[in-house]
Amino acid sequence: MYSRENNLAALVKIQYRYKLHAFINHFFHMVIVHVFALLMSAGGTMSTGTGLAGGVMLTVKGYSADILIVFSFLWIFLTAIITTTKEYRNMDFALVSNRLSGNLSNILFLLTASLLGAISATLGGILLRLVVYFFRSDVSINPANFVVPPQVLFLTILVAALYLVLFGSAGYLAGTLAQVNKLFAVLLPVLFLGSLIYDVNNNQGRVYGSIAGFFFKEASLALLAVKILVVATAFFCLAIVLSNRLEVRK
Amino acid sequence: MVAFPFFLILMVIFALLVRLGGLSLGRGRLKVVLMAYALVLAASLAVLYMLPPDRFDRRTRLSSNEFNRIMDLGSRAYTAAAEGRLDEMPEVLGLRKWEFELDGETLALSTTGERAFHLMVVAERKKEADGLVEVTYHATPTLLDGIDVTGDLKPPDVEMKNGVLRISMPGDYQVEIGQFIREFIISPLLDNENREEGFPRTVIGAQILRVKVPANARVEPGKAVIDFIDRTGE
Repeated sequence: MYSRENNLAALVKIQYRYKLHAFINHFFHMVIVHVFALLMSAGGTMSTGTGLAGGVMLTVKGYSADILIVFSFLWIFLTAIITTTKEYRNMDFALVSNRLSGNLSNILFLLTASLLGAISATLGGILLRLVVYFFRSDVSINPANFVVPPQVLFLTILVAALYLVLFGSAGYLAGTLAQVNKLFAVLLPVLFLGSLIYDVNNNQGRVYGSIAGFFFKEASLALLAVKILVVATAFFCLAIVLSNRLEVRK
Repeated sequence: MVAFPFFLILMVIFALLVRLGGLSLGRGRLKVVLMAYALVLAASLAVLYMLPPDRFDRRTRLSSNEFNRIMDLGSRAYTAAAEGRLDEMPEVLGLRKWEFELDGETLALSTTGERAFHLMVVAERKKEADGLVEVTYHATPTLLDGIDVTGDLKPPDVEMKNGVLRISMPGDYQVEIGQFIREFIISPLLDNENREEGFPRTVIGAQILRVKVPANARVEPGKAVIDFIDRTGE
């Protein structure tokens, strides 16, 4: 005999397993996004320290996996939005489910996708190093930061996963809002872009800068994790509450 | 303005992803693609730790203390060269040497090239009348953005023909260094070491060509600007 909680946990587990297989397309999209980002990064992201002395013109070209990471944020954000669409919600009816188990299994899927996206983006940075090493024979490589120590590799994966959870939760909330009322599908991007342009034009981007700085300038890993997990949990909870209202309405 | 093309690219990717929402290769092929990608990533990690270091840049980065030590070395080297005291400065590097036999007793000098004015030519009459012209290219460290590029300096081309020592300086040339930068998401967590910014980090070092001529030789500088040191009386 199952208790109600055990029943929910079992439902979530079944749905989560089902979605891992059914949503495999999203990982293919991730590969495409990462390959595109790799191609963009292979030419170098910026040039610094250019100068001329004694006839030597020195150019220091910077390479990093930043584009891979930013594109991963975009990928998880869009994946989260897509999982809230009617087409994807209808997949829940293929199994015995309720709205809560559907939401929880979606969230579990997004957490898994965040972890896999973080691993892929971080290792993509390693692949970028090899691309530069083997295919840019004209570039002399500074060994600093080229070989990544294992602890830095794990830290990058962990931090990237945390940010992907944050962006995934934001996408899930935005997608749920758009499902509650289609007006949000137009209103949210307009509000975001409008306020961003207004902030850049009138405050030199201070408001958005301080929101980004709240996360991206945090120097303590523990504090960063707490900040992200609190905000992501709030976003996911709000999305669950809103989607329950959606069920009542329809 | 730089952000605009980036946003444009993001919008294109956004549109592509929305289109890709309905794209599928078929489950079997998808799994193969994902497995292949995972394998490439895993293999790249293994290969990274096995790479031979021969492609790595060996130029050194100088700290502010080292920078201060060599900052005025160039001007001191020029003074020492003009006064014939270059041997007293072991920090001044001898990067290249030539030796020519002098037919007759007159050595004419000729300097050409875009950067000839960067080079100080010092002629020095030796104590010995050995018929040999010894030429040495000296330099002090040249730094660009804190990176020591002294090893990249191309010495002048020096040749002797019919009693004329032709000195030709090469034109400007480019050196590119690839620098991997820590990902922005972890740099606030790790980059707490001193970056030593806020001080000028470029030093144009001295470039000196020292021409030692036999005691009995006469030097005709022509249009070349040279300093002359006579050691026959010492």
